[in-house]
Amino acid sequence: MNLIAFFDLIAAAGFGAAVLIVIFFVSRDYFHFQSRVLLLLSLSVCLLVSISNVLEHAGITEYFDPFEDYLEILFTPFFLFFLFSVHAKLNHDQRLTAEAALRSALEKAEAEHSKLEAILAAIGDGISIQDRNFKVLYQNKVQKEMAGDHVGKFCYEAYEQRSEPCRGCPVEASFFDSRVHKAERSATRGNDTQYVEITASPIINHKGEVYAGIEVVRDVTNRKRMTEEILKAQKLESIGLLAGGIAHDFNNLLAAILGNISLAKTYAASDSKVMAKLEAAEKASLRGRELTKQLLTFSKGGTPVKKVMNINRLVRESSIFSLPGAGVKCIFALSDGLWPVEVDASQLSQVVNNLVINAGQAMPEGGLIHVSTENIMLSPGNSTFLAPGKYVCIGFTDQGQGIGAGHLSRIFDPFYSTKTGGTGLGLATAFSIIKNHGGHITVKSSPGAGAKFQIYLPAVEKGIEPTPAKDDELFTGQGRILFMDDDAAVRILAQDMLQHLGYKIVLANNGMEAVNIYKAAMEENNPFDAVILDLEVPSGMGGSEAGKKILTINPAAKILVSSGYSNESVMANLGKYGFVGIIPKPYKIQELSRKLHDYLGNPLPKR
Amino acid sequence: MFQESELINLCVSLITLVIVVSAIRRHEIPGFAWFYAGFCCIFAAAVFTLIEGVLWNELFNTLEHISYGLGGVSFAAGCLEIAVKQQKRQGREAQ
Repeated sequence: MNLIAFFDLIAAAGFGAAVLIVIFFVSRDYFHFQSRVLLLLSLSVCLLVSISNVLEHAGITEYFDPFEDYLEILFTPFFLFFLFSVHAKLNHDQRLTAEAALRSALEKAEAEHSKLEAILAAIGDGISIQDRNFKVLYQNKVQKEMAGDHVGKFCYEAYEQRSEPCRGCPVEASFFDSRVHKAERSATRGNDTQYVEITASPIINHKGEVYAGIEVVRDVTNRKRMTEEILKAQKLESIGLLAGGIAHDFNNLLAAILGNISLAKTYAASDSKVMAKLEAAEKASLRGRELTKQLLTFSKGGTPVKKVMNINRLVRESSIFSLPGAGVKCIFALSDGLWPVEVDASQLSQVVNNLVINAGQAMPEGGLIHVSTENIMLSPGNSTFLAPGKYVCIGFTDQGQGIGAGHLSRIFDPFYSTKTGGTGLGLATAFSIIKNHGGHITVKSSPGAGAKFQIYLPAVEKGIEPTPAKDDELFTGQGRILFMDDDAAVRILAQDMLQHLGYKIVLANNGMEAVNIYKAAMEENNPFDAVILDLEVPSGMGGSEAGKKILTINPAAKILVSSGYSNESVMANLGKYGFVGIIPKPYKIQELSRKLHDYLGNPLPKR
Repeated sequence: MFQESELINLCVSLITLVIVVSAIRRHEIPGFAWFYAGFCCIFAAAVFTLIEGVLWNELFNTLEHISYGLGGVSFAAGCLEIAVKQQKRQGREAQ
């Protein structure tokens, strides 16, 4: 074999091998159908030419030689189309890959956008983005609900109806110095004022330039109102402490005065001049007692002694009783099936008195006071800041001249009054009483449009307790009574009263002395029938501790407590402390006689 | 002298060569070096075929057949490379 035939053989082997590899080892995944066909055609042309060359130069036959040249011409276009085909396939694949990548990126971006939108909505604050010209680029759902959809509009036009950016705009400030700025705004709609806190932060691009600003708008109306409520409560507490301290001492003095008067009345003839003077003095003392009671109720010691009741009757009677005079009438809309509430009847009556008297005074020319009661379900986040649940709402609406915004915010402040001769304690006391009942009192008013007070009291599931009948009789009795009070005047008065009623009395001036006397009496087998203890003893053992010790000596001891304060929880939870009853100071001899008759004559209440 | 088919073949090959060189320079089809080399060998064979008619017949005829042989080897190598790459890719995908 010559050299040329050898190279032809190599060429034939090479092309032949290439054809076989393409047929058997290169799949459609790598070259698609057209490319494979074109490559096979190119290679086949070359293979045929090589075989023809081998046959010719090996001296076998020259038969195929004339076809060689034409075959060779075919190779180039086949190869060229093969290249085009591969190139087109590559381009197509690249485009598909790019499209898939783009689609995936878009899906990711969509998912991120949805996530971001959900986060922004969950924040609960209004969020908007504004460009350097204050044009709104984006608003989240909350912001749209708060202010409407204003995307594409200028924020100062959309939100504030202005023709230029607002003065002190926090977004403008953040554009200026690239820092976070805060501002507070208020908007009044009807009778409601909405307060919002705006936080603006700049959005900075990769060049460090501020190109937009984010504005976060938070509704702080509730927070602001709550702060005001806390401040009001703190103010009431501090003034209450002062008032309560004074009232306590004053109450002891009144106890002595009133007691002595009532005792003196029993000595005097019913038609004498002395009796008339004593009655006048008693009336004045009773007015003093009412004022002291108001002060004590308003002070910290005003824990209500509650009973479960339907308040419709109380509201009606107290309202009618408090009507200031001719020209003013009450119109009642009292709900049937009102839920029962647990209230101190005398305290609630005081609240109704104060509100009706105020309403009457607001209508000097006369008018109507609409008094209503209704059941209300308060939902979470209500404007009263009360826990959600069942409440009874008492409403008082007058037709007076109304209250100006300046007075409205201070109306429940103690000693704040716009009336000549007003003590400024009426509404403060009402506020304090309702707070102590776990309720809330609100007022809505504007000048010339009257005022509407609403009292919310928590409803209870308990049954209504029967109300005892009033009795002004004097009950005499028998038995030994141990009486403890730190005030000498009260002790002497009690001694006179109880002796007058037929009881034997032993006096003690503090808790320790009372315990010792009680113990000695028990040891001598001469026990007391009842013990009356003063709860407040500043310089020694108080009534609650003394009572506890006496009960350890004799668990069947009948202990009554007496105090000017509705002190802490003792007065409201007598059974828990083991006491059988209370005698609030100051008291008349009739009240004392009735209490002793009730408690000594009846079996012990359940402890 | 020159045969008509050889001239046509050269012209078509020249046009294709321009396209191939352009494709090589722009890296349009990656992993095609052996195919380009094979085409260049075939093109060289076409040129030698033409020259052998006017000059040193023996030498250029031999060069023509050597070029053809190298072309065959190049295409075989190119196809083999693709088959190996495909095997590797399938192996990776199987993992």
